[in-house]
Amino acid sequence: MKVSELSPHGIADLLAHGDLLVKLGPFVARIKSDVSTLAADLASIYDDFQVQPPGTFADFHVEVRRERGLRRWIKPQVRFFFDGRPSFIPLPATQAFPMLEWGLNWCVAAHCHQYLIFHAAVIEKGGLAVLMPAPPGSGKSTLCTGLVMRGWRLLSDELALYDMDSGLVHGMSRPINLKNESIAVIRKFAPQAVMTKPVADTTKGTVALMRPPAESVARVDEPAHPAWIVLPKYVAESKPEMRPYSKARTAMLLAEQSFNYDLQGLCGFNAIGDLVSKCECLQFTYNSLDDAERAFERLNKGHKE
Amino acid sequence: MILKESQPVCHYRRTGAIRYRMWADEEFAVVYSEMSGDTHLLDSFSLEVLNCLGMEPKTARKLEGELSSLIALEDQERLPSFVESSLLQLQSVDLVTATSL
Repeated sequence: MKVSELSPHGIADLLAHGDLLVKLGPFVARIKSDVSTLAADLASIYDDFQVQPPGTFADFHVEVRRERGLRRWIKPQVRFFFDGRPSFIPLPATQAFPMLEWGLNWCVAAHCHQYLIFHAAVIEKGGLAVLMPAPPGSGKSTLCTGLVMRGWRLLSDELALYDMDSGLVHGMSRPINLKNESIAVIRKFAPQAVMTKPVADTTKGTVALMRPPAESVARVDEPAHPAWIVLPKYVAESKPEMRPYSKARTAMLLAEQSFNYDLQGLCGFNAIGDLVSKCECLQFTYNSLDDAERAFERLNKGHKE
Repeated sequence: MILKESQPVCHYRRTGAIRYRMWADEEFAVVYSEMSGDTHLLDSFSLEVLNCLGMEPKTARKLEGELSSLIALEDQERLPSFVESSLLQLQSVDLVTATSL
């Protein structure tokens, strides 16, 4: 059963009782919340996701709960709980849905060490995946969103789950986190995109969460073979250019952009070395999503700028 | 007769086992220290210095002798500074230690 098949009252009721079990790729999250706006956002943005039957084992038990006391009424705040324990500082109640997303990201990054986890976007077409590792603010989510709205499958805009044994990359196809100017850029590029209302004054600026394409969610259990590692760089008024990038530097960047590389020891080092060896490593400079769309199509067909 | 005190001679050795990956036509390698778990980006010459060193202490002079074949004839004069620079870099990331004997 999908989230879309539940009524709004049904979703709110499941959330209130902590009985909403949602499949997120390889994981299941049990979600609880007493925040009505979160229920509405979840219904809209997670509508294609599978709801699991009662009693399904959940990897994460998470809750976004309204603060008690004065903070329930005056400048209301919400707090994230993991396995019943409060985690992180409370945030304004308007940030309840982003808080859920950031909390789920933390759950995976902090616990799922069966994968080597990169801070990277991952998209796929024709069975081959592009990994885009990049520090925050590099424009990878905007680029990822643009390509996904032009037919690439979304595995993730944030967390690449690399299976060190199989060499395949997994994703969760979760909502894409857009920030600041990228919200307007994507609205213009893809007017059909479904997003939450922008939420201002978060630690990342103004954020909005975009519903992932239904096909990406439907295919979430299909891992992909990584073929390219592309380091995106948005440069205003630049010509689009895809050029080879040092494999050694790419390996260092992957290590730096990994949430759990330090925990993996020599296995992690070998895994990154193998990944970089089998992928084409490129740096992509661009100034428009239309140029990016063309450049990635050429890449997929075996050409480079 | 005044005897000059002999200057202590620095001996260098690796701090532990390493693994590395290097790709064709690239100037840099990634090196993993099994002792610390740290990963480093090293230029190819520094990697050669590291491979030369092993666990037995060596002086810089001995290293220069073993590495001279890697340097073009016209650059041989600069070999000591290459070796010194590499050893400083390797010490700064704890891949090499120095002892005075």
